[in-house]
Amino acid sequence: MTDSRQPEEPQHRRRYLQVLWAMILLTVIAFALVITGALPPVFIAAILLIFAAIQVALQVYLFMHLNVGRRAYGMFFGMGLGVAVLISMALFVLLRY
Amino acid sequence: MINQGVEPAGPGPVSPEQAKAQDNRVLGFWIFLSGECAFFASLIGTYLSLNTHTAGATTLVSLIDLPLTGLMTLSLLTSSLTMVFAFLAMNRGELQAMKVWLWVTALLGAVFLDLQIFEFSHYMASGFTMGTSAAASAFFALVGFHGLHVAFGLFWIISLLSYSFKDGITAANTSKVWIAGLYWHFVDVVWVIIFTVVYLLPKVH
Repeated sequence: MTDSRQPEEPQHRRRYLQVLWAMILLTVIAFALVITGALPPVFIAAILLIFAAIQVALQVYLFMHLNVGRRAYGMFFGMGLGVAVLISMALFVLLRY
Repeated sequence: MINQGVEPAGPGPVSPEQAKAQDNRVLGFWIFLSGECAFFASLIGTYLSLNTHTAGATTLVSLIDLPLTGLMTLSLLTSSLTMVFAFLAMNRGELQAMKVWLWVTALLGAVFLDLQIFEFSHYMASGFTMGTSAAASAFFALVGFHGLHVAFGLFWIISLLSYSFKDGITAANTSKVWIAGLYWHFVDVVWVIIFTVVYLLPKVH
């Protein structure tokens, strides 16, 4: 299980902290946009979705270490995500319209 | 952090059989997580479809308390970081440090659950219950199942902490912590999506 062995260096800890701060910053900006309504709604909605995608990517690649794991991990998880998008879109379309 | 003098976990598993078993365990868990994606996608899709079906009753948008949700998000995001620190301590072979970070993670998870119980009780006291409308049912099903996942993760971490680790951190037991961590991060990923879709987007006017 070589993928679970991360080289332990101080910069690793710093990088994870930086990622956490980045995610908190994105969350705070998202909050501020929603509360102040500083931009047209369609822009805010788009920004919120982009921020969510960035946070999910950071979590999966860095915190779940998909960036250093076997390719099969990413393949199966990617398939799951693909099916998830299809299911949610299909349910949305079928039930709402 | 205190190093209890345990032997570091070493560069890898001790035998090819063990390596294969652990590798398969992690791969199997990733496949399980992809199934979980489909599970939560069903709930999110249902919520997105039904969130306008309020039956003229209390709506979620009028009840959402964004600062509370922000606090919940902060506790879960930070718990992901503390779980990573537990991994790093494990890789250094520092059993005591790993346990401390796992306890911090469990504590943050408990804070999240506590806030969610408070949130749900506030909603129910305001007349927004599972039976209020289709939108309410979809909301409680989605967010409630996520909360159950957090509760299970909390139970899992506490179980790990009660595991004796009598031989210290070894190649045989690192995958237990590793897999629990993957689960915990996944629960956090789902929350990021729920937070955006259920709490923030409906507030955009």
